[in-house]
Amino acid sequence: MGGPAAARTNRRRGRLSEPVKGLVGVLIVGMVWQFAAILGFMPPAYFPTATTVLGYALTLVVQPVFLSHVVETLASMLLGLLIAAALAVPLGVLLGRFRVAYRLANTLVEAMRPIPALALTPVAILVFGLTSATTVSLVVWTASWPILINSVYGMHSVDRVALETARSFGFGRWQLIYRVALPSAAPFIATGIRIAIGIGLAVTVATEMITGAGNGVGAWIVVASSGGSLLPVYAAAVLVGLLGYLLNYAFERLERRVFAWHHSFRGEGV
Amino acid sequence: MHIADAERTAVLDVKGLVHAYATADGVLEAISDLTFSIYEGEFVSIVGPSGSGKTTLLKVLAGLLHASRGDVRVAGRQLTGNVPQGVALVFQDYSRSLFPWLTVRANVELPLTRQGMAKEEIARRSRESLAAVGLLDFERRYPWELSGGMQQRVAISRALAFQPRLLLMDEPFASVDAQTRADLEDLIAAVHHRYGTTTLFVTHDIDESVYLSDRVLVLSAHPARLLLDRKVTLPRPRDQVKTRELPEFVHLRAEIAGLILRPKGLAAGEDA
Amino acid sequence: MATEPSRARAPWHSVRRILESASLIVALVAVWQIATAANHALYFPTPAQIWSQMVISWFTASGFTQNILPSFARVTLGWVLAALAGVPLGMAIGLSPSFAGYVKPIVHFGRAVPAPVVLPVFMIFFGIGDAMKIAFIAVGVAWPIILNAIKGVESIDRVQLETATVYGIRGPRRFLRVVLPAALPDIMAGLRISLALSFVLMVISEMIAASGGIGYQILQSQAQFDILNMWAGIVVLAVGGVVFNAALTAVERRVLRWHRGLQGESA
Repeated sequence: MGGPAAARTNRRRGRLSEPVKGLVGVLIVGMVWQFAAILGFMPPAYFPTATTVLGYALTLVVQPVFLSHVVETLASMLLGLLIAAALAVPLGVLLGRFRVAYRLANTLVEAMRPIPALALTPVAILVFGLTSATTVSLVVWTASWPILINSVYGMHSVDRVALETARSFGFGRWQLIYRVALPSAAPFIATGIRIAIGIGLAVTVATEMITGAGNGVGAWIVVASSGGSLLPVYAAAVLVGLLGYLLNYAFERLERRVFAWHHSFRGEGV
Repeated sequence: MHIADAERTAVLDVKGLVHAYATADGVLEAISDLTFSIYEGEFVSIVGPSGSGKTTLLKVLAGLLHASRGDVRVAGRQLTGNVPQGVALVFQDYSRSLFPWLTVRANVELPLTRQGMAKEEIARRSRESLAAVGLLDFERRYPWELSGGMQQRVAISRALAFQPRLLLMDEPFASVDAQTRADLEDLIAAVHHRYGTTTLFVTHDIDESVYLSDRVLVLSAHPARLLLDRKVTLPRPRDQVKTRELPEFVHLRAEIAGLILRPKGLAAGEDA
Repeated sequence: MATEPSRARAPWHSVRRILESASLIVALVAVWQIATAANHALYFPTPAQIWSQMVISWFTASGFTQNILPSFARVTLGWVLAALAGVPLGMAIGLSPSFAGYVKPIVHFGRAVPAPVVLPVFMIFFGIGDAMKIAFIAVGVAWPIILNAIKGVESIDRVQLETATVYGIRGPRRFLRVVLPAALPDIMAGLRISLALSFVLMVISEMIAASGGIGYQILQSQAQFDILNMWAGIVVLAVGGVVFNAALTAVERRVLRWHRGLQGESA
């Protein structure tokens, strides 16, 4: 891939750097979109130009009403994520550590995991009504699985040698978990959380769209597009996409910094 | 049997080879003005300290890297930009150079399936080379089912079946234990005796280089330069215990060690 | 690590695994039955009741052809379309590093946009019929497939590529016999993720477009307070998801036999 040495070589040879290339790619897509929209295949209400979408998105970003919806969505997602992590990480650590428990639980996990949170929306509505608790509960359901599975995977990936070394120094069972297994598994757990962020955001927005409970970006989209124009949808897609992209990017950077010592981040990989 | 150098066929001709690469601190030379030749049927070792550009040299010869300056000819043909034909390379990291989705036999046969060779011929070659390394019984196994030494033997078998004009080996036994290494050394010596493959063998192990070769080339530390080109006249077949006791072995070993193991003294005099 | 093939142990191993899983499922259903029967909660019927409801309204000829079949057909079609387009595209991007720099951020962004957000766009452009749902699923699910295909190609071991180069393995042969197998584990992982996502998108498209299918039935039942039918739909959906996933996993196991062996563990 890259790294500082490759970047220097690239610069020396007059090639574009990665971020610039990415920007160029996005610009090209934007220009194609603009051109296609101007050609007028579809009415502007359904296929606005890229510049229109961008302009509208920019006005939204500073609009307090829209922003409060965004905050609402983020709050639901984060709360759901926190609860999910609080449940799934300890469970995953235990299941990862004790093989017998894992084999028992695995069947259950594999049976329940495919149930999309959205299919359970009606159940959540019945239990919680049309409140944000519905949304949060569904985020908890969705986010728990990747976190759980990655936590178990992380525990299974702990280096035997490290464990045995620690054991030879007299560490007890729980100390081994806390001092050796957990730090080793932490990067994997973090990956699970990062995946859960992406999915959690999608589920939050989708649930808001279905319940239309009046709060959150999803509800905003439903209301805003009821006027027949798709412009709000496009703008919201850009903004939410950007939000998700940035969250993912920021979390990845954080992971890299906190877990720089882990072998999956050192060296050139394979 | 001695044949005058000028009358023998040079399988490999290297003249004034330089390999340099750009870094943040300017241009660094890995190889600096290397000149030597290797003749048909010879087993030549290249030995030098770690990081002395030995691997870089092999990669240039195999066509994986480009020479910055100089002339390299394989079997009379100059290296252009492409991979030279008839050159096989055995990597140090055998576990990564074998393809895990192919059986042992399929791994050995893959390089052969190109040239429009008949299936029977391919099968014959792969079975023969597997038998030569003693792995015929394992032809249907996958690489991960084999030990490290066995995997390296598969890699060697693959190179043999290819029937290369020039066999390059990059510290092939560095990643195995001493016992296995001794077995593999004798294996490669036997194989060379049987097939007469021209071999260029890179190692950092001085004993190994003397034990196996007809000739030893000693490289200096980075940037690599040729310090010594010495014929080895120890009798063949060689024995792990007896040969290593012979005076010639001990002297040659000491001479090479003296060149390699005192890099400080050397660098002070040779620094440009 | 292993010095003897684990294939000899495989048949008994998987039989034992199936028996374990089956008995576990039976035990769980029993617990479920006892818990819900004891509670008499309005919103949580017993498995027995759910089963009879399923037989009555879901496993009938019309139930099958109007709801179960179309929904699962849409999922399959959407996913297959995404795979057929996404895998080659992703691999092509991964194989040309200079081009990849331009395209990767776009793909990452596409993945970051939650598909439900753009559902209204699909409904305007395609209506609310099958075409819309299939297109929606296909487009929504393509991103993880592409990303994983790119990753699969980019993370191929350099030593393997060098080996192939040295031995003169070039062109289509190189692609089919070296690049593709090496990238396959990541590609299969992407396909598995996308399958789960396909179900999600199928459900949401049916719930919002309100024109038939399992998702629609579930939501409709809840609105009409037909709790039993709602749960029956959820169970049908869950079982469908499990079956599809198990099928794909079985295919993955077969195709990636060598990969599992490499990791020394049964997935």
